[in-house]
Amino acid sequence: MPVSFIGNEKTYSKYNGGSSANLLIRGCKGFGELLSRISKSKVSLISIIILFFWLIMAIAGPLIVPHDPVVHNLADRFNPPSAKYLFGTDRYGRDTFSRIIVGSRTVFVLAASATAISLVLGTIIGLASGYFGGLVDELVMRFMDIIMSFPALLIALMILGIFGPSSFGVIIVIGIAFAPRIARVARSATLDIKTKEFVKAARVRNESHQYIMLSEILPNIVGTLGVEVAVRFGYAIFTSASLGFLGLGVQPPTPDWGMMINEAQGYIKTAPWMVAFPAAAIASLTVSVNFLSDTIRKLESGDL
Amino acid sequence: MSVRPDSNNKSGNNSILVIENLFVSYSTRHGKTRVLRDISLEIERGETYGVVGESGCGKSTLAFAIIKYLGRNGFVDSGKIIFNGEDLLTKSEREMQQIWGKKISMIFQDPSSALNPSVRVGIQISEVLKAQKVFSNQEIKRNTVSILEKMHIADPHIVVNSYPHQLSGGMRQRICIGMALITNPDLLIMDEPTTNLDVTTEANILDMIADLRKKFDAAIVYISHNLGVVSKVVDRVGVMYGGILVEEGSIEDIICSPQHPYTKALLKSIPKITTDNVRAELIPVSGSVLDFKHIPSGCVFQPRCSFSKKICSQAEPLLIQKKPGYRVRCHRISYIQQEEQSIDLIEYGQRKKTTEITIPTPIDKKSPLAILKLDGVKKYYDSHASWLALNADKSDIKAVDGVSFSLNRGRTLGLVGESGCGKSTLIHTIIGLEDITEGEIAFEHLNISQPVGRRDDAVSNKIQIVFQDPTGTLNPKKTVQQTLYRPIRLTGASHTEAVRRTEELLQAVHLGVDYLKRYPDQLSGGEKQRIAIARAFASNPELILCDEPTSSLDVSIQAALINLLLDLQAKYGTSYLFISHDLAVVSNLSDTMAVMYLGRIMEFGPTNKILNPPYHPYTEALLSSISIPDPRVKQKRVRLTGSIPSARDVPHGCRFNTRCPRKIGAVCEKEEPPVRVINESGNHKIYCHLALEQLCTMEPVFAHFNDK
Repeated sequence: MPVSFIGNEKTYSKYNGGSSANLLIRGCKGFGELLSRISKSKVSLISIIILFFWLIMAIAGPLIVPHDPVVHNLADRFNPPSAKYLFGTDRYGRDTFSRIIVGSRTVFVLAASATAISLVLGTIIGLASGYFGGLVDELVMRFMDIIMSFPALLIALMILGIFGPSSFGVIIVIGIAFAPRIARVARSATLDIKTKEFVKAARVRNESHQYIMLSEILPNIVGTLGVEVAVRFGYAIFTSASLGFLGLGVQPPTPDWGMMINEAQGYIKTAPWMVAFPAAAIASLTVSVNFLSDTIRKLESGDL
Repeated sequence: MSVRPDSNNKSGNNSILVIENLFVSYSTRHGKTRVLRDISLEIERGETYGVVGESGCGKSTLAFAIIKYLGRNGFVDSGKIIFNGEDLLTKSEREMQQIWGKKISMIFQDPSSALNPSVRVGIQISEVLKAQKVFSNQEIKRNTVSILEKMHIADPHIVVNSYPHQLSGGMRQRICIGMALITNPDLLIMDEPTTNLDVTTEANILDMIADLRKKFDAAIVYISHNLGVVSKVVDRVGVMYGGILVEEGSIEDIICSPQHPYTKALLKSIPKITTDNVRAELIPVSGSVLDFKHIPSGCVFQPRCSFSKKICSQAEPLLIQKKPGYRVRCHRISYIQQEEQSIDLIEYGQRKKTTEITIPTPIDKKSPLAILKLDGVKKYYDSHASWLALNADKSDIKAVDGVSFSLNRGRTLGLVGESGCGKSTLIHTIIGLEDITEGEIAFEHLNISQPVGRRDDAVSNKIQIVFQDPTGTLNPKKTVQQTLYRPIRLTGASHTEAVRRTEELLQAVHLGVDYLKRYPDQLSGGEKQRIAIARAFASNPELILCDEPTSSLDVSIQAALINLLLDLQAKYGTSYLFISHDLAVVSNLSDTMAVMYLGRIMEFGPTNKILNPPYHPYTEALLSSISIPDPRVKQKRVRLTGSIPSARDVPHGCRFNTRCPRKIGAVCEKEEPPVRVINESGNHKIYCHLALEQLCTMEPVFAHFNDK
């Protein structure tokens, strides 16, 4: 007999009483409860710790690093990991550890700005398209399909190839390339909310389209968008690192994880630490961001 | 706990199921919640036992505990479940698999999700038999067809080869019941099997269940929130509240002379059909259903009980056997008996007059008596068939097909009909959420046949709507304050004025100001609907369209909402257009009624005229299908066969001719029925080919046994 009892838990959590800031996560009363729910899953907890570590490094990194990440020190070229140089040094004798720490800022700035742009663009397009429907919806979404049919990296190569490499270009390109995916999620969530009675009630009292979209529908799709944004953020980190590797992003000497791997590829046999540590940094960040998106989804659906 | 005499000796022979002191809890995010407490009952072979109570009182949990299928977070803490002499709780999952489906079967509320949509129903039924591995293919085929015949299915050979989506909800539920009975189980558990069905279908299924008891010897546990439904099929009833059995006895005992205050309150809250010209007063159960996280000390019902005394909050009452086969759990039983001895609480059609509604005089003399006037309103939907589907049916869906009526100021028009008759579409068309295909809608003097976006703000403020689904009706991200404040501000009120009005409205729907800061997920279904009603009243409307606002709520809460709507009408003089599939609810609220079938009005007239003969044959069938919780009322038996035809393919002539029990002949299939005006004032109209004299010879549907 196919009986599911998952429903019971929700039924009983219905009346959790008291006023609350449950705007983002369903039925969560405050930061304390949020934390206790997250800590139920060890993976979620660890990935959040890693994420916070990198976030702090991105903010305070330049202040706490043991060596200047940019200054050449030719006496200490290709030093293996040691007490002085934790992750070894590169061909100019720069400390890999310090460069990774400082490089986290580049990653965050690029990926976060790109994701923010795609979020704003995608939400506006998806919300409006889903709300109005009809021919407008059809045309807009098919155009989004066209953008999506090109791999993000290919679009980036094309555009940055024409306009020249720059970190600003990376942000814009990734932002645009990811917007259709967010638009798709925003649209499908809107289609669901649009049919709800409270939206009809707003139409009945002759609210403007703008009010209905921004005030009635948007708050209800934020959770769904949050999951998608976290996923896109993970991809954005990876894509910006890839562009850095191809030399199309941040220009030397500013440290960048992708670029560091690129510089190290010739020495992979003699100085493997030069590749291993930046690669591990990228991996740790993308993996934990992906787990974070999973955590948000579980919190949304009440599985955590 | 009363100790049952010789339970050890007899249970093996006579009882199929014995539950002893059962305690069940769920582990939730907030810790362990005890849901069932001290349940003891005994079900005899071949007996039908009803379990009733409001939603959230543990009925379904009891059902799942019996079949030992509580899910990951459910636990039986203590107690015994003895089925056929064996304790089920000591059995392993593997052993239970020998019992599930073979010895104990279960039927759920939703027949559409209980069947696999991609497998023909015949194959699904035969799978049950194949699992037994004792039948030959020939036997399986024969048994499959014969079980469908026993389920009163007309063409079993055709049905066997159909997919579930090709069948109506009633048919699907019959098939589910057939699947459950094909193995000849000893116990059949039915969890609200008719709740999602139309009254006419429900009546047929209930007839069938009553008939099954002659053909099969399975004991049935029938779970329902509806005492009327239960009274039609069961021998004995257990009334549950807060996970506890509060009263148990034969159906006559429980309905005719209930002792426990909860049972009494439940019965009083059921809307009754009164055939004379007064409204029966509904008395809601005060308070809200017990929250399992905060179980009160003493008696569980004590916070809502009007008889409670000090002792009730101090000690938990015991389930005491008052006479053979009758048990009740209440401290104050002897007192209550003395107090209410003389009053027959639930006399059918209790004749107690409520306050007469005063019709407010029109504000200016120019405004007409009729606030809403519909003239030949039609709403067709395009079939949306893709041009690629060459042979697809491209005819329009005629949801509303020529409806005309008018509603007077300060009055209530009740509109009834089965689901799919177009009543919701009609309401959506009036309010302007759907554009009108043909015809004209007039509000006061104004033609409002355009969609809401192109209406004047002043007009859209004056017509408001209350929706059916309490979960979707409020924005989950907005507090009650935000929900109510906005529509008031839109009427042009200042901030301070709007804040004041918000609180005023909240009080008008009997909720405290502490609700202002709450989000919808902190409200119960009934509270959400109250807020929705408050929101509808926020713009001082003159007309409110009610789209089955109570149909997804418990009867006890429904009664309170109906009273609230009547109070607000008396206070503000608002007119209502109230639609529902439930004739009893509508007849309690409305001055005038319209009976709708397949997009058209079949009968229209004052409520008391509709409920008394002459009837339209469809009205007669609807009235006859209602489940009335009173064994002393005799109901004429008129059953409709089949289901409502598709609005894509409306029958020619009278659209009711395919199901009409009083069909005359060819004339019904060829010609549109003429209007028969019944009374002199001309406000009672029946659209039927039957001659006026024939209509007038109809017998009333309801009769009191005492009358005979």
